[in-house]
Amino acid sequence: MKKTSWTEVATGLQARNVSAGRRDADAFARDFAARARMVRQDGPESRQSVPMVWFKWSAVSVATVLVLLAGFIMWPSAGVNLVTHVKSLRVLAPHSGVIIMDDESGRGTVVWVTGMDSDGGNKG
Amino acid sequence: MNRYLTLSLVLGVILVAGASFAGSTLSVRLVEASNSGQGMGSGLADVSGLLRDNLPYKSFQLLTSRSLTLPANGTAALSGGMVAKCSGPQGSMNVVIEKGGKQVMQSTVELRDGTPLILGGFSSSKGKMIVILLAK
Repeated sequence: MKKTSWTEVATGLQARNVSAGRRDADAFARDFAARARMVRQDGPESRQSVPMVWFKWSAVSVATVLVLLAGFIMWPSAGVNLVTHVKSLRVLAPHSGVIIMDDESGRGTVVWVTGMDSDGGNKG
Repeated sequence: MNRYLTLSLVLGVILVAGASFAGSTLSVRLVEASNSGQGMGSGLADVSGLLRDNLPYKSFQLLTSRSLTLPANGTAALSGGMVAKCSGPQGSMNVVIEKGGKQVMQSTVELRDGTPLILGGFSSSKGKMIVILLAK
């Protein structure tokens, strides 16, 4: 098979006056870019356009979550940030001991005063 | 887009406000624990596991149930001459338990929503008295 060099091709085209109707390079490039941007509608993976309303509601959801997070962080008095526990304890009735238990499953805290005679407390 | 953002912010503020005031009630319950009989009385379903698994009693009977508004500043009159005086916010609440007009216990506690605090060991005729504090 004979290989044709580019010089021969260029010379041949010039001889046949093929370049007479040729467009300039810029116009060709613009045209090419425009076609490249087009989406084939008959392709198996033609992209479905997502309605704009979904983007808007996504923004609403994200903003809501952010505001909620900020609210919980900045609002330490909210009950969900607290942990049930005893900060201080004074038993005024006669007793033998105090046990403070945190339930293993986190279901609550138990303060148990042993040997308490709760009928013998301080006059309040 | 600004209209949606404003709407979402308003929605968020409403939700945050609602969540922040979630713990608006303090429930105060007086329970008698004993080994005479068996079972969990009505009104104790939410704390039955906690009581049964941590205390050496077979029977738990609800004697009184009271509610206070949070932040607390009130007295819950319980039965058997017992009184629970609660004051202050949920994060640092002063609790005084009185029996027969005498103070038997003073405590400062922090309460998480839905997680009970049990104050127990008060003497009773059948067994022991228990005070359950629950913010919700």
